[in-house]
Amino acid sequence: MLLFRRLDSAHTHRNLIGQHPLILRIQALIKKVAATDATVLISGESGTGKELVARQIHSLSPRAAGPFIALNCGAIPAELLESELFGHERGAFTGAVGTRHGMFQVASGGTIFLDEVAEMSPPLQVKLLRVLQEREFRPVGSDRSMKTDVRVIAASNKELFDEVSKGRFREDLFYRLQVIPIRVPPLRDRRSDVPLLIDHFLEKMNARRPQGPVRVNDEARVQLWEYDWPGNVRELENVIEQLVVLADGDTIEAENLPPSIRRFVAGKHNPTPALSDEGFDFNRAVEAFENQLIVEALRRSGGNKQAAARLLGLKRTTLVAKLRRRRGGNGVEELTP
Amino acid sequence: MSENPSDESKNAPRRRARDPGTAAAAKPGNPRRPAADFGSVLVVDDNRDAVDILCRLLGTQHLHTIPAYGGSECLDIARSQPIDLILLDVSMPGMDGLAVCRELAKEERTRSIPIILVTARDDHETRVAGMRLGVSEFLTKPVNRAELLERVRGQLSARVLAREMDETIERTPQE
Ligand SMILES: Nc1ncnc2c1ncn2[C@@H]1O[C@H](COP(=O)(O)OP(=O)(O)O)[C@@H](O)[C@H]1O
Ligand SMILES: [Mg+2]
Repeated sequence: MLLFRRLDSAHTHRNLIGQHPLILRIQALIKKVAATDATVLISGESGTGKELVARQIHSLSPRAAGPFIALNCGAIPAELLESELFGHERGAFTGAVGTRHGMFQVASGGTIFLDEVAEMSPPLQVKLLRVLQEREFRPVGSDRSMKTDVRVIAASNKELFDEVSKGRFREDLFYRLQVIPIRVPPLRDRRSDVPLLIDHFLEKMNARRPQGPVRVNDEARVQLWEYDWPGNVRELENVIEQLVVLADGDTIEAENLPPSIRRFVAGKHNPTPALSDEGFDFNRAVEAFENQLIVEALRRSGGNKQAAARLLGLKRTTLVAKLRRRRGGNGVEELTP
Repeated sequence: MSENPSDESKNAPRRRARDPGTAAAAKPGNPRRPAADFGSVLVVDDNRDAVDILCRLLGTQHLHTIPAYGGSECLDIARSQPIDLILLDVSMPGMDGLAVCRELAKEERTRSIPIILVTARDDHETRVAGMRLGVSEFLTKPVNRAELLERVRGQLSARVLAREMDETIERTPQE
């Protein structure tokens, strides 16, 4: 059973897409740290691209020809994790029938990516610290140390410093890991990259679509842009993949988007009124709602008030009166579409 | 600030943005240092009451606000002093919010200032224009205070992060 994964060649040429000032800085930092052997700590929510950053550092480093091995520390029971990392001798524990190499041997000359490093048990944290300091380790059940030549990149979706404050993560290991810290921001904080990412994933999925390419129309695109992406880039990638697979025409429209996204975006434009401690400005909310309807009706009617009034089920004179009242100002905008 | 219950009824989960100035961030050794010099927010609306309300709201979070009552005033300020965020109305007489975005994008100095559009113009065209112009957020009037503050925090922490990354890039040895 091999719990860690080797980097397959398909991953190596993947780029970190984005033009946001933070992404440009991350790209610059990747180039710079790739040239060094420094330990890197990548933090960020799940799906933001931490592993992609790690892979890029490896691919641009002098170790690129060596292996890149990823291990998710949160997905493996503590007892197993130790032997995954350091290997074991025959008979080291029940079930250890043969000698087995660990990551620190297999990845020699390459890079180890330790994902969800915050989940590592305290005894293992000590052992990891030792490898980082002395470049040597001891396989489970062995009495001699082995030398290792690996670069370590760690990642965490938890704020590792908070884990240190809570006594769950060793402070010395924390500082040892974050020689170079890289924070990958959540997608909602770099929303302006969403259209680029949509096009990137669209192109990728379209290349595999025998029926020919699909496009995303403006309304669908703007709704994807407004969505908050709690699952970050991974969620966006999955959504685009689904949309392309399920598309039956050549255009993805807002109606095709997952209902959860549509509901979220609708909620942004038509906030559910709620009473806060300071109370709630009923008139303002009603006014804003009215505004939205009127603006939309005028847009659809191309500015024709008669037609807009019909869409709204109002008399033309009523609509005109409402428009005149709005022009007064007080926080409400001009209604000309 | 009170929690607005309507946040919970939203369908997608949303995590709180990190606050660049919390007590936790002030602990020694924490890589998230408090950013005392952060938070110059330019608040732009042709309606003085709207500017007032927003400035007061941001003031409760100890953010430094600068009022501007029109598009060209906004540009003058953004070109002449350090601004970390612009809250920008769309419909304004003279130069409107979208034109302001276009002008800001033209100059190196103002290009990367994040913009939050705060507008009652909630139509398809304005949203698409905002997306194409690369604005950071699009909020609809009347704004939900909790949501506005969360978005402001998100954008300001991104600015803090950008500065920290500049330092990291600077001190990473070239080998
Ligand atoms: N900036 C980006 N450009 C292109 N693809 C990205 C970007 N960020 C993330 N991805 C893709 O999104 C998915 C999730 O990224 P991953 O690195 O696994 O996130 P994390 O390790 O933070 O959970 C992967 O398929 C990755 O290739
Ligand atoms: Mg206005």
